[in-house]
Amino acid sequence: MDWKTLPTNYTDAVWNGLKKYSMINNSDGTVSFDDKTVYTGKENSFFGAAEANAMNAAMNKLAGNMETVEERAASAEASADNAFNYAKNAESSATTATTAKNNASESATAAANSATAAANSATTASQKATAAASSATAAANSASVAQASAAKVTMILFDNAGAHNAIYRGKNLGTSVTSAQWAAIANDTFIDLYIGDYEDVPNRS
Amino acid sequence: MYLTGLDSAKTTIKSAFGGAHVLSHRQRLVNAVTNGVPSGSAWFDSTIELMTEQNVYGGKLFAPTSAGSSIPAMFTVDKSQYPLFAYEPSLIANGQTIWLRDVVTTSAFANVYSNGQANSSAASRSYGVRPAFCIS
Repeated sequence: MDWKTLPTNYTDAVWNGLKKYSMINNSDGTVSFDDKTVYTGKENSFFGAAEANAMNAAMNKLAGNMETVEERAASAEASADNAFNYAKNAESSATTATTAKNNASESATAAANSATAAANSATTASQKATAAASSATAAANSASVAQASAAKVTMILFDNAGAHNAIYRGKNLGTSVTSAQWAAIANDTFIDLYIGDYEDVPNRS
Repeated sequence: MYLTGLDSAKTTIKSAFGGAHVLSHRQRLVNAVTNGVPSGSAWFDSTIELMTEQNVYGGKLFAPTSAGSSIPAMFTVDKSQYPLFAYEPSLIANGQTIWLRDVVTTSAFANVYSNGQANSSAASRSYGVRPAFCIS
């Protein structure tokens, strides 16, 4: 029902003195009274069934609307709660996301540092590898030279008295002559025996 | 020195290496001296002997050598320097004055002084011995 604006111009009927009635004798033996009072503002003072119905209808509508408003308010409150919860969840998610972002940033920084360190290590390792390769080459060359020299020396390093008497070594041979040394002396090879070698015999005095 | 110090050294050496390993060999040793010069010698079976000046220095330094008009007999076959002293002369000195085999005068023998210098001293002096020997 469309809302109809109720009138707000009701007035009280006003009259002077006492009300006045004329009595009418009816044929059935009853009497009626006809109001003869002169009123002022009586037209807007009447409050009848139509106005009461209109007001009640309006009140009913308002009451119905109130229920709807309450329901909507409850629904809105529930929605607000949900929204609040969503907001809290969103905030928590945002915090988590921020933390994750910071962690990711720190991890990225650490990874970058590690990458830089790894690159430096790789460079150092490469340089060391190059140096090692150079050293290996030099060592190989030295080994070749030493081998050539050793080959020349080997030619004169016979195991006999002449050769071993021409080399001073001065090595401590131990505390007693071994069977191998006795054999080397007996067969004139003098293997591992050279000038200056000595036995440190205990309790010799 | 031949009767006391050397005999003690012989005992020590044979104890250390075993008597069977100390080589016995023929050695010509002086057994007579006239006017401070060796005048007689004989062959001996020798095991351990004092070193000669030649063994240590490579030549005679105090023992009599050719004097222009006379050529004294050396009476030794130990005329070579040991390779040890040729290659490492610092080992000639061992901190002790040691007797050598060579006769220098009627009363003196050659020795290696404690600091390594060639020396000779009266035979009455008490010094150490540093004998040489062969092992087999």
